[in-house]
Amino acid sequence: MSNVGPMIEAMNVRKAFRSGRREIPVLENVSLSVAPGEILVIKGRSGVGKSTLLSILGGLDLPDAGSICINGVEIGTLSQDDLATLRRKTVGIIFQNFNLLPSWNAVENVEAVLMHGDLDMAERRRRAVSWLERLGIGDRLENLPAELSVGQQQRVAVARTLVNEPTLILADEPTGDVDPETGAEIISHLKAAVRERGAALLVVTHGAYPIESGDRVLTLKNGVLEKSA
Amino acid sequence: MRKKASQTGCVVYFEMLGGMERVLGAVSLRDLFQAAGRETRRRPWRFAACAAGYAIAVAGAMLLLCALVFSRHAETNILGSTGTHFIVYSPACSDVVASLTPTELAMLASGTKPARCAEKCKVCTGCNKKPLDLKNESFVAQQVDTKLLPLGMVDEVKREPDLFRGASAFLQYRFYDSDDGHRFTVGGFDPDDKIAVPPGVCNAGDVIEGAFLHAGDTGLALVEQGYAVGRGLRVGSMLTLSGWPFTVIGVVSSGVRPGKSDVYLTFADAEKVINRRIRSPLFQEMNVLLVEVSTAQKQDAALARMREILQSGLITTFACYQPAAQVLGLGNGMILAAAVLLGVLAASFGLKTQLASLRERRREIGILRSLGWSRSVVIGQLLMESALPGFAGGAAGAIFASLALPFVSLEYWTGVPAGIDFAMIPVIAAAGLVSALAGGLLAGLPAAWLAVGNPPADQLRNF
Repeated sequence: MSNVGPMIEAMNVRKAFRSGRREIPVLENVSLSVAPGEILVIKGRSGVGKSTLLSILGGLDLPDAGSICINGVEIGTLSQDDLATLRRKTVGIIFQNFNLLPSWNAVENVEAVLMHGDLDMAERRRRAVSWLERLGIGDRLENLPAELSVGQQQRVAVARTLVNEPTLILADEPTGDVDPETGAEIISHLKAAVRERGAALLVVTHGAYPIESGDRVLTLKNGVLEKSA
Repeated sequence: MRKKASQTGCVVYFEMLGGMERVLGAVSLRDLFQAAGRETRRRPWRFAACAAGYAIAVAGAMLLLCALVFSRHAETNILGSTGTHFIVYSPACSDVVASLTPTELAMLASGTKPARCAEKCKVCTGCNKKPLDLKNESFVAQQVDTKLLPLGMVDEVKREPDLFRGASAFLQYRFYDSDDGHRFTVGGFDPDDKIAVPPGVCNAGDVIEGAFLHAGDTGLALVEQGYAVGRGLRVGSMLTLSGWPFTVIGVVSSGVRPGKSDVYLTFADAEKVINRRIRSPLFQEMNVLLVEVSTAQKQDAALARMREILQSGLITTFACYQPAAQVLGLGNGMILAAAVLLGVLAASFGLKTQLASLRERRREIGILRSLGWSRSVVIGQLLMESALPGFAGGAAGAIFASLALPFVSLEYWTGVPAGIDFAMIPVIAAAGLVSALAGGLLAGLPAAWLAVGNPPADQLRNF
């Protein structure tokens, strides 16, 4: 744990979706903070708004109310392009459904996150290949996502997140579709990022992720964040 | 610039486009190009259909534009000799002169205008230059007795090249041969004028025997074929005008021309022989102005301007083929409109394709944005994808049309002696290619703009 300010701090975040005239509340006054070098696990049943919370914290979606600061920057005041820069330089998101680009092969999917940087093509490729090899799919570099198993796709998604060395990692069921051995491997890589680089890790899970690996565990229930028993 | 393209192959080296890279951010055009290539490989039939649309549009537009060029050439060739020229003259006030007293005629001869003339003519143009034999001789144009016009009008007309392509002075005088009582016309022109004289009087191409006159010739004459036959004249024959001997240098058949005469002399020789038949000599004067309009479409404007220059309003025009010119202009406009319509249809097709693609790829665009791709880069990516089929189709269409055009002989199909201007083909092909590329970019713009309008989460949710 670091004693500097929080990497992410959310205050009274509210979000509701509309279906016709009906408003469906998803998040109710959610407040949380994650410090650099800390792992926060948020558990909750399917459909309680875990992925929505992650989207909002990652600047992919806008809250209806409340404020979110990432590394001291209030993201509600940022433009879409500034948010993109923030995601590119600071935030890494592992999506539950991986969100791989279907026409890009494995290594290109990992490279996609580096294209906006200052790396030349060769260095980009070297880093992408290195991460895919570390995650055990160095032999599937040229395969399209459709040619990979679900577990392999998940590893590509993890590699794509970690290759950019983000200081805030938002992970949505990062071990949800892999065997226990691979899951442990992924967790070790995520924890290594926290230990070695002081990144903050926020994991949301419905139970697949071992909550004991988190420094703190919160439960999202009916849109409200509670301390886990 | 941070990148040096190290790979070989068909990927274009984009280093030179560093300025564009800076606009797009850090993602290189090469990356965008490769990403667009992936999309093309993923949906090759869509790409082919879109490119085919552009190819058909460009090829069609090129053929239509060449038809337009052909039409303009035909217009020049057909109307250039018949519809873009006229002659200017002012009918004479012979009724006034015929009633003048000897004293009044003497006044005219001395350069003083009698009161009765002033009442009739606002602009007196040479009653004092009336023929000595008023009954049988006169300045004429198309069988009408005419006044004289100042030679300065020629330069005045030439000063407006936008309306007038050329102008030339012409003298036409009806002579009376008292020996045998026959009348004939003598025309005096500038043989060196290759613009206004040929359609109005005659040219070297009309010579059927002998040679044509040249500027500076003196004592030489051309005779019209009919007159030569009637009078038994041939090349080398002698004829006498006002006591001056002239050698026939050539026989011409000038067909239907407004300035057609029996005998043609140089302008200076004509002045010389006419001066012996009138009360006082010509001085910087003519009786007919030959005018060539810049284009058939400017006939109306040229005639209006001519009336302003002439002031008296007594202008008589020679057959203008204005309706034909207008019809040709209409045809040209329709061809141009068809070419533009074709381009718009192709761009619309491209737009539809891009919008359909956008709907299918909403989530992918959301993924790219979630990875931190800025809106400008996403827009650049989509524009690249949209421009590729435009460029490929445009190139294919331009190549096809360029190869096909030489084999499509419009002369053969229409019988009009005006072919394709082959020098124009590369220019039109380049224009077609650029238009297709621009069309592709334009077609992709709305889709690209829509793609970045919502937060990425919306795009990731809706698939």
